[in-house]
Amino acid sequence: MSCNSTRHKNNGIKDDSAGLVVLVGNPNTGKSCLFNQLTGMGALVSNYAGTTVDILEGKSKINGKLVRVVDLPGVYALGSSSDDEKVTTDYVNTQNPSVIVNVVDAKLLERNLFLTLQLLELKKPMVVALNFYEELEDKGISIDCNKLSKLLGVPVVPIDALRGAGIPALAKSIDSVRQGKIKPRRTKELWHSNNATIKSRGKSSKLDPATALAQKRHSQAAKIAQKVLLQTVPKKNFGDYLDRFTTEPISGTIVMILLMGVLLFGLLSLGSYLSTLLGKLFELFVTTPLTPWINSLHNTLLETIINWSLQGINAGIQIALPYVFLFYLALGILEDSGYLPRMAYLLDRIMHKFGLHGQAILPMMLGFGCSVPAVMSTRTLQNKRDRLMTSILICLIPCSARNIIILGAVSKFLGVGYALLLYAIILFFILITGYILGRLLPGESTGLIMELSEYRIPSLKNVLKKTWMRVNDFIIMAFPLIIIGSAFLGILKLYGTLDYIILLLTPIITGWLMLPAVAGITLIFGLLRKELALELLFVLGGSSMLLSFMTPLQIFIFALVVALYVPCIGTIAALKHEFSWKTSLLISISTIILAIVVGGLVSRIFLAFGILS
Amino acid sequence: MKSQKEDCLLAIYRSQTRNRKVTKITDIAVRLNVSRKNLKEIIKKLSRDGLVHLDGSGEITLTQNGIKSARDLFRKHQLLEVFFTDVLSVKKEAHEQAHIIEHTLSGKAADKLDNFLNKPRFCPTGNPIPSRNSKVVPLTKINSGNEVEVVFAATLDTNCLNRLNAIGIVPRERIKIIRKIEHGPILLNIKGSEIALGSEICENIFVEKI
Repeated sequence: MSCNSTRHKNNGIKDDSAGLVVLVGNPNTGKSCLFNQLTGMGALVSNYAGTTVDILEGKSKINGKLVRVVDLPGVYALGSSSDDEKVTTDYVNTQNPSVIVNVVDAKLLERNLFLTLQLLELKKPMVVALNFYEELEDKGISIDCNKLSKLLGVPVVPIDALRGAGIPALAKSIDSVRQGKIKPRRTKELWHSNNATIKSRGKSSKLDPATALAQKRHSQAAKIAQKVLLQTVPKKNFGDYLDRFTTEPISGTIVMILLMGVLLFGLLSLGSYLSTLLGKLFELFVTTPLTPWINSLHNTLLETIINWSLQGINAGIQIALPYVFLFYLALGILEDSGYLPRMAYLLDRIMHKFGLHGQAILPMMLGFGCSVPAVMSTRTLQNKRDRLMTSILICLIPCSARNIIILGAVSKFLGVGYALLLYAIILFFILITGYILGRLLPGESTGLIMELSEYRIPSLKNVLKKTWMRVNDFIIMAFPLIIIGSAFLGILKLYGTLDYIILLLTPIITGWLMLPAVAGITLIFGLLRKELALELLFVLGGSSMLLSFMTPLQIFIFALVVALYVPCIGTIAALKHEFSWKTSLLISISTIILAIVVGGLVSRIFLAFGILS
Repeated sequence: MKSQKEDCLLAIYRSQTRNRKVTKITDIAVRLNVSRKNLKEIIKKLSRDGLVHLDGSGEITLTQNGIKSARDLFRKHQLLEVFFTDVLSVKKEAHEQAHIIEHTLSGKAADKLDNFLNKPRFCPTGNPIPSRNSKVVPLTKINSGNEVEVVFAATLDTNCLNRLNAIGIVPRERIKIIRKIEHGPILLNIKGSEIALGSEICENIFVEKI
């Protein structure tokens, strides 16, 4: 589950409600946003195709009756050209929904109608929700909804999913359709579309049947769109100029490098400022007032547990919170602006050198936040090989927990320069791994097919909500572990058990990696959550003065090893879920070996050249 | 001999536009009712004429000249079919007759026939008739800012083909090239949305300038 909420949420919801309403539509049409409006839940909403890759389920009161509402991954058509498309198609075909809500981007009516026509062929009760209707009217275009409804034979309701306009009307339509008050009618337009289906099964066409059918459906969609669109003169807006500037090879690359530079610099400087501030606040308001009370307990065991837990929490607040918060804030803004697909477009050519294509950039960017949703979002890729390869690389990409260690230990104690050097080393190994995998894995990449969503000014509310949700997930997962881990270590130390464990790990940790033996224990805890390794190191060291018991070189090597070795337990589970146990274990073991080998080698190289020593 | 070569060329063209798979000799041998040995000879000749490309593993692909010749031939066939069906009202014989005459009809006569029939856009079975002197090139050859009409996509991967079909890259659809990166992906305007397509996909999408 880790730091993400886009997993299955259907546990515990039984089929006792009045019906099943599914949201189906093209990618990036605002299904998740509508889902949140209907259910009051918190599905992640962004501005790029493929934010939702799994089935999300919630409950909603529609006209006083409780129904199950399901948000499905966005698709261009029902079919199986990628894993997320399979998820949606299988769900619609097997779960027998009582109402299909087809969410349509009003600005791209013609393209969206392709799926609408396909859905209508299922002959299920259906409602069309025209999202972004106001944005369309801003452009001087409107849609004749009554006419569209007549042509399609189902209700059509204009909505604004972000602000909530039109939702009551939509709910009313859903209810009428669900109760059978409005039945889908077979219109002349649909008869044509349906007829095309039958015709294309015959041999008359010179095209392959699938293409012939697609062609007929598209032309039908175009005809319908033409009939209902009241003015179609596209106006250039600011977004178009920005689009041009950020996708032109030279200016686009400059913007991309600057943006990533600002992001990294902002994280480094603001992060360490916030970190110091939070540390002082914690001491002022928690540690200092509590100390007399703890000392008055006169119980060594209890004292140890409370003291160590407090140190754990302190470390968590000081190290984890500032960097995680800032990173997700930045990621949220990038996601909602619509910039990420442009980055994928620009990097497509470079990605080919590794046998991948630009679309893999999106999951990899998510990987800087948390590997678990990143691995899941590889479902948007069209073949297994690309999925596997991207997932392996995601395991090596420093997620926010690993960034915490790099920023909170290396950058804070050794300086920004060494943090950058560490990133460079990690990047080097990602590139090498990518290069080798590209040659090792059989098959070929299918190539980039990606929609660039329109630029949009990020909504402050949505960005803050997302950041809060992600940080909250982080806190809920991390802090109990930090506290339990710290208290546990405290008890082990109190009874002297710690020394035995240390002895066992000495050969690898001290002998090869040349780290202090206690670091070995924290590395094991790092399996649960990566940043736990550093937080516990702070706790074990007895203070936040890392330099008092580790040399600069040891800090560097520690951070390097943590960054490379097995992704945390959450990622191992996600890999198992998406691929298999075998793949998951193989990736885990390879990364452990990689981390140990690289850690030992780098420490020897640094020693030989007198770097950091 | 000429008609055999042309039949073979047309069969390859059909196989590639229809199945979008790599064409092998066995695929077309059935259609043409020619022995495999003969067929091999014919294909070798086509390859010498620069109309097809034959690689070591027996995969046949049409060259640009090959596509042009095949389309010219296909156009003649379709125009003749229209003529036999609409003008002479011999619907049943239309295909047979067209199949024979297509090899002897000159380019000039075909153009006159086109004018006579008032430039039909579809053949009797409903397929689009290629326009005269049309140049069919891969999408990668088109400069940014141009609008083109899709002729066919020859991708090998069904997932990829289905995705292309769904987003609107189907024969006769008009698309605009917004921007491109040299040897890299191309940004297209398809039905109002901006879609990025990798160069390896664009190489297999054949289009015609409008």
